[in-house]
Amino acid sequence: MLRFIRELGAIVLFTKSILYALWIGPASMWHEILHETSRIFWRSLQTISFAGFFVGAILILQFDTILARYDARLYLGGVCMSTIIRDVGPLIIAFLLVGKVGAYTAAELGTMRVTEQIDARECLGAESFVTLLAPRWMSIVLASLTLLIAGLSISIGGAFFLALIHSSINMHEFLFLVPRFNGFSTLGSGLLKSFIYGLLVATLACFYGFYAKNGAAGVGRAVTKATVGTHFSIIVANYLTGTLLTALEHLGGP
Amino acid sequence: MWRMLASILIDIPHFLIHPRRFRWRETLEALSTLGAGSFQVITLATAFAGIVITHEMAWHMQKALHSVAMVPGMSAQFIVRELAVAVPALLLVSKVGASLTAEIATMKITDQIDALRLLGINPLDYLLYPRLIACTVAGGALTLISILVTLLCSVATARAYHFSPPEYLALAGHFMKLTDVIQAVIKGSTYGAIIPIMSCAYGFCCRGGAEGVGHTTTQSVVASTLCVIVLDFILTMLFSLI
Repeated sequence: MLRFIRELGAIVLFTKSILYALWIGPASMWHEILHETSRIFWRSLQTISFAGFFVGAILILQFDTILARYDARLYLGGVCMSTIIRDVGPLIIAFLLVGKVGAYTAAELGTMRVTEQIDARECLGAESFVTLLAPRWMSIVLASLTLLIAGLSISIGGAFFLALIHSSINMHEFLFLVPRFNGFSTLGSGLLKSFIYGLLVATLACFYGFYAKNGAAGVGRAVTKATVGTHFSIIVANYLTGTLLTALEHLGGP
Repeated sequence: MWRMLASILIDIPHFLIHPRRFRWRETLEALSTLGAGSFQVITLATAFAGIVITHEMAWHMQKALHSVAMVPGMSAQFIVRELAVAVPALLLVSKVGASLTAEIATMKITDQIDALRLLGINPLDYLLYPRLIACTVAGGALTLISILVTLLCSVATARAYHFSPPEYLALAGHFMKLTDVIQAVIKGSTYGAIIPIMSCAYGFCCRGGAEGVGHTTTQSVVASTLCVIVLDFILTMLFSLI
């Protein structure tokens, strides 16, 4: 328990240093960030789209069976689409993102650490937080957000496609109830969750990768720690944001 | 990689009909480290997921029907059919898959696998099959446990919508069948079995020193996650046709 709190504190301080480095960093850093963001985005887009399509398809299949037991197939489009955007879509796509972007970054930084490349850079006078971590962190946050939005759009497409070929409903029936469920609060919740998951992926991957030690085995351990930690914190964040948004809605609602 | 994967898949039937290749001690060891080691994380994570999904379902019902009467049935079905199966599987991929790949890849680049062959031990017998059996068993068992934990959290959350536990269970039981649970366990075991197969296929092909281990681990986690998602689709499709 004490170790957990100590690690949490270290992560918070680490994030603070990164944010400070972003603040004092030169303007040319932002050019690098955009470059890196597009590199991560294009590298992962294929995998994310592939997974996104299947996430939408799975949810349609499941809800089709469940709603058919209630004889309420009319709600299929609306319920499925808002579940994809609000809850399950960001969760499962973020899980894939953890492997694709998070583990990759942790492995890269960990390898740089154990082969003493980071020490060499520091000896030559490069400030690690400004030149190495801050650009990487920011570009992962941006890339994760864009990738999650892309993945969600594709999973909606997948859901639509499967609803048409598998469940016996037509396009109008599918779209009929969509606006009722997918208002501002659904989109806002999906976007907020995507942003928070992106922050978690970036912070934990950079943290565990940067502080890897003990050679090759240590890199493997850092990657495992980063993926498990991120998965777990994503689920907890899902709970916290869900509760927060429900509370807000109750305040704002009738 | 593909050749390694194919040779593993071809070798599995051979293993199944030759019980002498089975290693008791390693299997039990793997079961305790892989299965019991993931127990804590998975139960805690699915508990949170259960709370969230109950609130989400209530939100939907409120929007659609202006009543929350269908909350127990919908959330219990969604938990048993999808949530308590997919979330533990994906967590197992990161928890077990990543460490297994890193371990096997490190053994490969430090020539320990060649050393095993030199001693006359089939590396698959020693590294893959104990973990394959352990993960298959653990996958099914963890799915069952996470169904219980998630349902328990959902029951507790539904009290906020004025459903007492017996009421919830009666409403949920009305729409649930035993086959749903059996299908969930079959799915869980299948996803569990995928993880060591992918880890070994990637780990045995690791090249390029320390850097290679990191990259192999990443690739294997991504491939296993994709496999779980695609298999989830295929199995759901198959089960919905039955």
